[in-house]
Amino acid sequence: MSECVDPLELDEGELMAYVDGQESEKVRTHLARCPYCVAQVAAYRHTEVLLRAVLHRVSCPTPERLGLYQLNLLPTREQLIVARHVRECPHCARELEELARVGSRPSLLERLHRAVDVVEAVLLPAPRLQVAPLRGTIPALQRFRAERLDVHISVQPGHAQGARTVMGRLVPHDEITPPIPGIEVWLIRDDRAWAAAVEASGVFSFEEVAPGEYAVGLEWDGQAVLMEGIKVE
Amino acid sequence: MVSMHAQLSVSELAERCQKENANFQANKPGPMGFCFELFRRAVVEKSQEAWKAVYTLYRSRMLQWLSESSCNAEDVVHGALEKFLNAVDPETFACFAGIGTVLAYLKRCVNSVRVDRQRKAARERLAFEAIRMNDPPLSSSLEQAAFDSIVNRECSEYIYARLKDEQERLVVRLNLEQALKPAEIVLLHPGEFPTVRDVYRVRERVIRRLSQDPVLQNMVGDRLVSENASETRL
Repeated sequence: MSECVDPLELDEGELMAYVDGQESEKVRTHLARCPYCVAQVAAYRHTEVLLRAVLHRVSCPTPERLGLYQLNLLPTREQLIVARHVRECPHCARELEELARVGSRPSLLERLHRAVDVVEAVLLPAPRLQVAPLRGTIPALQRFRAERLDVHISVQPGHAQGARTVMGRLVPHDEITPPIPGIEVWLIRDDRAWAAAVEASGVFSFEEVAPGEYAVGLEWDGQAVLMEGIKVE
Repeated sequence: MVSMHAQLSVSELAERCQKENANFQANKPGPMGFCFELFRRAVVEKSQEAWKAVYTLYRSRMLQWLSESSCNAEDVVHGALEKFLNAVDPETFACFAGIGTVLAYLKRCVNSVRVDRQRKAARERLAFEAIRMNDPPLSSSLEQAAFDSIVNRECSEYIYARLKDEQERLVVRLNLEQALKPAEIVLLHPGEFPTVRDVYRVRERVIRRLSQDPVLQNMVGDRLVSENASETRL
């Protein structure tokens, strides 16, 4: 049969929904008397499987590119393009987690999100100042202490208007493994997170941070350390 | 700091980088920047000698990043260094703040070898699923040709060129490429697709058009089926 027995009976999309497993009495009844549409359903199924194979993730960035994105190493425009892609691509979102992993353990970010094996660092009282600072001249410094590690965090003016830079410094109490450079730090706000690495001097920074309340997480001596309540104003 | 280190030979740099690493390990202060300069030589100046030194100095650390059960560990290390070299050009290297960022990215290159394998396996599974739908089944000699056609980039570019508007591109990218469900597409783009029905409508339009496209069929379907038929006849 070269054409549908009743072209007005089904709306465009109803056959496709049926191919997708959406049961419909109306479509079933139509197919029972229309060999043309039965053939169409078979052709749609075949074409769809073929298209899924041909197109599978062709627009996805390579894993190496995702890695550059995660560490904020792409030019600004490309960072935005990849960010938009990742928001809509569950595969790439999952791979970002995998890229940050060490061995077969869940990544630091996964552990921080699930609150598994996380040590909460304690905020130390601010040191007494000899002279009262002029308002706005000294960046607020927060000192946190976890087991055998102090982390100093300050929020400073950023390059863009209204943006801030969150800077931190690790002050270990004794010998450490692995060595500091390359230790990862995450800046977390709600369900979003940004990665950075600790440099040789023990310093890390996050540029262009929007106002809000953040947490900072890092791995120290095999444990996830979380510092909460970092206000960026 | 980099300019001062730039006068050192690769072997001198490697030696000082090793000391730098030992100092880090012991949490002792000491001169820094040698390891970063070594990577800079490898990437920016494309020095083979520097690459060899990077491999020697960081091989064991890269192995630590791997899964304990990982086989072909040595292949992964080589693959990761190759990926690093290909992905980081001098311009990108200028964005690395220091050795910490370099190592964090190197770790991602190690993991991306595994991610690549997973992507390849998923693609092969889908390709063979499509190949198995051929009726009559393709001979084994044509299966590889069919596979090559399916994974050919030209084919996906042709499909995208056949789409008529942004709605079609969205449905193809999100549903066929990334396997998002129609309801998920509605959540992401309620303006374009107020209901699931709208997604199905666009998808049916695209699939109908492509299922009748002679060029596409020739690329991935008819040609192979006819070759298969003649091979079967022989």
